[in-house]
Amino acid sequence: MNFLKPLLYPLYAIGLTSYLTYTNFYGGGSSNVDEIENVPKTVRENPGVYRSHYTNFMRYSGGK
Amino acid sequence: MLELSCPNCGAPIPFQSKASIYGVCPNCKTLTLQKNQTLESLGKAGELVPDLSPIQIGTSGKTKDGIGFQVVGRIQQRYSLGTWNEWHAISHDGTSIWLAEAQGQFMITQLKPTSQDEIFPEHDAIQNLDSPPDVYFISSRTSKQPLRAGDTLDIDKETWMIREIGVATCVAGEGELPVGFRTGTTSVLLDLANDQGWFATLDYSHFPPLYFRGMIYNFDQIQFINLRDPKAFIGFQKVEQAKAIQCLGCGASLSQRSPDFSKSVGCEYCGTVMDTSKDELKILSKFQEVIKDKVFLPPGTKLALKGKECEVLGVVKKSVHADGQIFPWTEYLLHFTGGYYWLNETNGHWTIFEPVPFIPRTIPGSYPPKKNFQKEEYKLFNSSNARTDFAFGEFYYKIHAGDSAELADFIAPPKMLSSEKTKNEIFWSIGEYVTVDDLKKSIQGEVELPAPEGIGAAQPNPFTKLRKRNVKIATWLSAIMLVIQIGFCMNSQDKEVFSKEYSYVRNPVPGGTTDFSFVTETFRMEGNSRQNVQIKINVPALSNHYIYYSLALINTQTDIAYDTGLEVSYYEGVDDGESWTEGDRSADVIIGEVPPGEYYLRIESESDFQRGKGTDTTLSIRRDVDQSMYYFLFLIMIWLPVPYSLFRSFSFETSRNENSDFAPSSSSDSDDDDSSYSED
Repeated sequence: MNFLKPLLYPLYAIGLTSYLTYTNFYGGGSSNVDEIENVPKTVRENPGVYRSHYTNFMRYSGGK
Repeated sequence: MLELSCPNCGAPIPFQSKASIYGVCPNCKTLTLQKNQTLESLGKAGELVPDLSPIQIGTSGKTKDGIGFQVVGRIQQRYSLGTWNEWHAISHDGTSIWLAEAQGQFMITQLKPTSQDEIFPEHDAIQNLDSPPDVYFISSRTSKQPLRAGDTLDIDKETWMIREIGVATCVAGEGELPVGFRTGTTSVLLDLANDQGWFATLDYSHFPPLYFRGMIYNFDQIQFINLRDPKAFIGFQKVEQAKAIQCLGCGASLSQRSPDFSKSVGCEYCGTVMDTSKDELKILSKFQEVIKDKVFLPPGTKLALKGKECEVLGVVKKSVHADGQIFPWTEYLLHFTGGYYWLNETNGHWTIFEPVPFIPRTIPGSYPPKKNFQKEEYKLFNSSNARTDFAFGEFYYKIHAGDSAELADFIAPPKMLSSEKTKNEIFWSIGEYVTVDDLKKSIQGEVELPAPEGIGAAQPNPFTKLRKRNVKIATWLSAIMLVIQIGFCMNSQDKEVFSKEYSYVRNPVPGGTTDFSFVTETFRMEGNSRQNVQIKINVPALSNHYIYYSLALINTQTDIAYDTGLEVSYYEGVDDGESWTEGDRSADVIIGEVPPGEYYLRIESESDFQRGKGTDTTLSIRRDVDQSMYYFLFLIMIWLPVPYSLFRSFSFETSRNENSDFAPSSSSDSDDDDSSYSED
């Protein structure tokens, strides 16, 4: 395993570089986005029919 | 070429150089002196002793720096370890030069005139051919300023360091010479060197002493023609084969592997050291204690190092006594055709040394003291007084029991520059660290070598290499990614496709916590499927409230929604007279890989406003925004591990320095071993 140690940083650097390039290339979206298919056509007329995944959340309580 | 008749036998004596006024008759060996185009006899020139010199009268050569010469005469000298020759040669421009050889090195010097006001050191009468007399400057009528090896003196406005104080006896001469000689006369020689690579000799066979100045060359730095035996000569010839000798101390049979190289032999059984420079053995000294533990490479061991086939000839056990502790180590003399190495073993760490013929350059004003050698800086690691505890095998010099020397080790791992100074000689050598694995591979046969303990003085720091490599990787990738990032930035549209101001009013649905949801007008997004979308909400007047938005970006054609959430919250106040804020009045979310098409946004909000209360908000949707933030995150992430390798490298050096004169705890006791390095 000792021969792997010197390779850790280069592998890490390559991974990081690849990730940044990929992110830049594909727009770098946030992780908290879900792609939902077959959304009812009626959402435009009745927005309440849509059920969002993002109704439970943590928020600032404010103050110090 | 001038030819004059020998006054003794009438044979012609040739003179090629105008500088040559002395000539030895090749027929009757009479030394003659030119006077008015005739020769005057000065007596017999003596009989030359057979030696191993590859050079002969008629040998010509050219140094790497373009000095061409032809050998026309020589003076042969004897010193404590044998004989050597001062060859007289004529350079291509007719200048008289001198070529001397010693242990594979060639010194090419010129006799330099000196001013009548020049003050040279003086010396006492020679009492013993093996021990040079005291050399000194007369500083006043009653006091002398003694000189030792390593001391400096000025000649012809140049500063020189004394390398060696020696005594030589003139044996004989041949050919044509610019200076005379007298067979059997003994004189003092001072070998000098400076840190510019120059070499000089003061020869006290004349008064005032002759001052020769020049350079040192290796055999392979001179292209020789017409050597004595070019077929057989490969640096040094092995004339004598190994032989058995009987110890004068205990009668044990000892083998002398290289009789033409070694000058002394130490008995491994009783510690008697014998002089082998003459046919008749003579006891030099005797070690009180036989120390043969931890000798890993006994004499006779064969190994291939630095491209040379070597054989261990001798083993020396040395030690330094400091702080009531003994620090021992072992040195192995390795002989190869044409020279020698010293292999040092300290706590399982191995360093191979070869001699350096000149004085490394001192870097003024440095602390720790530093030397410059072959464009590399070496810093002082430690200096000490070492003594020879035991030696056995054979050596190229006359080793004595109890020999001591001042040592100074300068390091630039994996290299080490070491000096060993006695009263009459300062000896520099350059060493290189050898790993145990590499050493094992170089040895013929199976040998058990100890595992290294701690960190060796010249052991290369593995983390330095790693750190340099990591810095290089991080630097290159940062630069490459900067270029790529600039490319992405320049190519991004960053186009606002929808913007609207809303007046937010808290209006929860009956039985729920969220407000009534609504949708925006549709808007078009161009570009390709890789491009992102940024949804940004700004609430400029928000104070001590939050608004949470559930957002769905919905494509009108494909019925695909990109579902996400976004919170805008901003709190502020004053506590203990100190104002504080928390949160931000604007927030955004980026959705990646959104195909082009017609979209609208469904918005559902929730907040802690009272029912019917609210504030103005601005919604902005942009297409294909630039993501420079990721580059800055990348920079942090790529450079984050670098300080770690820096720390490991520093820790390694700290551990190494614990054994040096400059260890934090030993700053005050560097003199405990009666040694303190000085640059004199």
